[in-house]
Amino acid sequence: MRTAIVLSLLSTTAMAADNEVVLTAGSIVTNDAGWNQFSHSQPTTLGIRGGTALTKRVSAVAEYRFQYQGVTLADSFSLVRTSYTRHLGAAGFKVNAPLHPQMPLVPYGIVEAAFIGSQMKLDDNRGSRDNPNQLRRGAITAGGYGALGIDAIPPQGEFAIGFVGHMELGWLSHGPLDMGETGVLRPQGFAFRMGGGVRF
Amino acid sequence: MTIPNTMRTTSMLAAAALLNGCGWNYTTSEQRNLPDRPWDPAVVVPADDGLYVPLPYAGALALVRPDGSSELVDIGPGRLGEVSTGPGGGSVAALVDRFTCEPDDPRDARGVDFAEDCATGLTVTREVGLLADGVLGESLPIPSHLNALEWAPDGGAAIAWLNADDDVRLDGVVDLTSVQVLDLTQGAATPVSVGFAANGLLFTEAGDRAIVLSRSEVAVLDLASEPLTLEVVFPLTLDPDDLVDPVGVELTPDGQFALISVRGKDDLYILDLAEHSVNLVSLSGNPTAMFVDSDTDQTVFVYDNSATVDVLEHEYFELQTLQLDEPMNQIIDAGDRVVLYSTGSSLHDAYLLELDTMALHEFRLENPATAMQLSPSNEFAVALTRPENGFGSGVEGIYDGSPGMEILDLRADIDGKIDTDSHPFLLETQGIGLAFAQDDTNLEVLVLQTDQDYLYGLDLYTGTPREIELPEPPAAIGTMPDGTFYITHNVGLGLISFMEPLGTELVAASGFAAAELFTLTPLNEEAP
Repeated sequence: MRTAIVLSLLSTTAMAADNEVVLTAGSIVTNDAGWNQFSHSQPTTLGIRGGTALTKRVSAVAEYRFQYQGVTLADSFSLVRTSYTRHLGAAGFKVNAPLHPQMPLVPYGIVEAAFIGSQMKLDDNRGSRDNPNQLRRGAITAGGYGALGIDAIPPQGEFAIGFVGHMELGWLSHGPLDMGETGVLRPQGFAFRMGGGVRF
Repeated sequence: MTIPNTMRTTSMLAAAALLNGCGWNYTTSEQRNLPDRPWDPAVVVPADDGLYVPLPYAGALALVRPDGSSELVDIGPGRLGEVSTGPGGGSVAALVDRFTCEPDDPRDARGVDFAEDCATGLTVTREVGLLADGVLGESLPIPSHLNALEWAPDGGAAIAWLNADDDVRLDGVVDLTSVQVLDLTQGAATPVSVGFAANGLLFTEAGDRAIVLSRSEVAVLDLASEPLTLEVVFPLTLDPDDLVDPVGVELTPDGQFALISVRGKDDLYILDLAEHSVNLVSLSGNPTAMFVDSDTDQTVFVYDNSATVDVLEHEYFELQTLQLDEPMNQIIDAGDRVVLYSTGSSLHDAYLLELDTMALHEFRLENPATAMQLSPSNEFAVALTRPENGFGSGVEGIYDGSPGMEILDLRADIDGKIDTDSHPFLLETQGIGLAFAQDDTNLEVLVLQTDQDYLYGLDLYTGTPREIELPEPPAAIGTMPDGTFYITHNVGLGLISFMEPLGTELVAASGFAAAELFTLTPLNEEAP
């Protein structure tokens, strides 16, 4: 019976357009020990997500997220500038679950496999180009992202292009990023994302 | 065209999200103060293996070699406390803190891998082990409050004690009357009760005895006995209400007598270690510096608050007092002579005292000294001076307002006379360090200045100057056991330059202080 309901939901006609492209922004609440060497605040990313409908309820989605944060670490005699860059590529499925055909708010769930490339830089003399202490370490890893969210879809009328906004809560999990002698980073955790874009 | 309310709301929401993301993303003014330094250019430990560099923030230890390579020393799970080097740099020991997490409810320890994550029940044990070629040998447990090591002359034994002037970790019940005698070659630690609040230690030259200063008493440990025994305790007062705080200890060259100075008093305690008796000598004041000269078997005392120098002979312990024009607070060994100078403000005198004849030669520095060093051959003394608010004009006025370097020629001419004029040099900025390099024909002094990215070298025989370019302004200079110079720099992620004596090429080691910058302190899995 439960399977039948799920299949019914996935195949029922909804207001979903065939494609959507949205810009997203969000942050991760992480307790990674090394993260505070890069920012007081949480890891924050900007991204773009595209999706195309496979069925009335299921879309294939792919996205790219970019993160660049840094801070100046100070002790009593010196300053060290740090920066952290993360490129995240992800692909997966988004399942819409409209509560009512006329309702503009559409809950959804999303599951993605993620591929992450990160680079960390440390520089204790930003005024010098040949400073030997311009350390750069990079690492790649894989992980996954899952979230539950709500799309806000205004009536599209007879227009070919409509708007969509979304807000989602989820979890990003990935493997360790080995930054050589400086240690291992793993800024993963609870994620909050929101954004907006177009449907067509 | 009207925009539906829902669309408007959605657009504003998306814009807010994007702006929010951009705002969090990167603010150049964001600064985070580290609770500890990644490394301290003033705290490096030269040894035969290389330069051991504690990394306080990471709680780790790096070994930096003169060829420019560096590596992290594996100290096991825990944090580095102190690194201490024995005589000549042959023995180096590391004090390491190991952590275990044992909360009342064992469930609270689940998933806790790091000391920083242990909310309750964190316990610490301290171990001391010898380092050899970047490897920490077998460790001995010691009480976690003991934070200093005093080494026996042969480097095979040491005493761990609580130095209240350093960082003190108090964990559990602490016995403040105890020190630990460590046999580092055999791997044995023996606690010995020596008196309340030990604050100074000295081994005899043979290493068979140790003298431990504590409040109102001095203990002598017989290290040659088996088991180790407390040979004698000398009380420094018979009145329990009268607190006597011993602050300095020296041994006479024959090792029979210990000379003890005490805080705030003019008395010198002379302890006969053979006969176990105490004698008192009244000095001209409370000494600020004490030096035992083995060539003439005498001890020299100077005083911050008295313009005198006392010389004590060691046969009858009779005191000879010489008058000075200004009080001195530093003594430098110059063979059978000593150089006296003062770091006090507005004091300009320095003296050369010939201990066999008691001849006193007075030098006048242009500016007050901040430091002075003797060349290895004892032919020259070089002082670093600070600017003062003088009212002179012309060249004298320029010199008064500038940091400088002054050279005192301690050589006697053919008539036995000494030129007591100082030879002053203006420095660009304050001098912060001196080192000497010498071979058969050259004697060079190297001068470090704050914020100057060069090393100034001056041949003291010929007066020929040179400049050696540095990659960054220096912080300190020192000498490795093999004579190689190391120069540390105020650079956050670590920079040390190495140079052969009288050489011109620098070899730099950098980046070693970035090690384990992102790593927490792992718990000790092998908890006792």
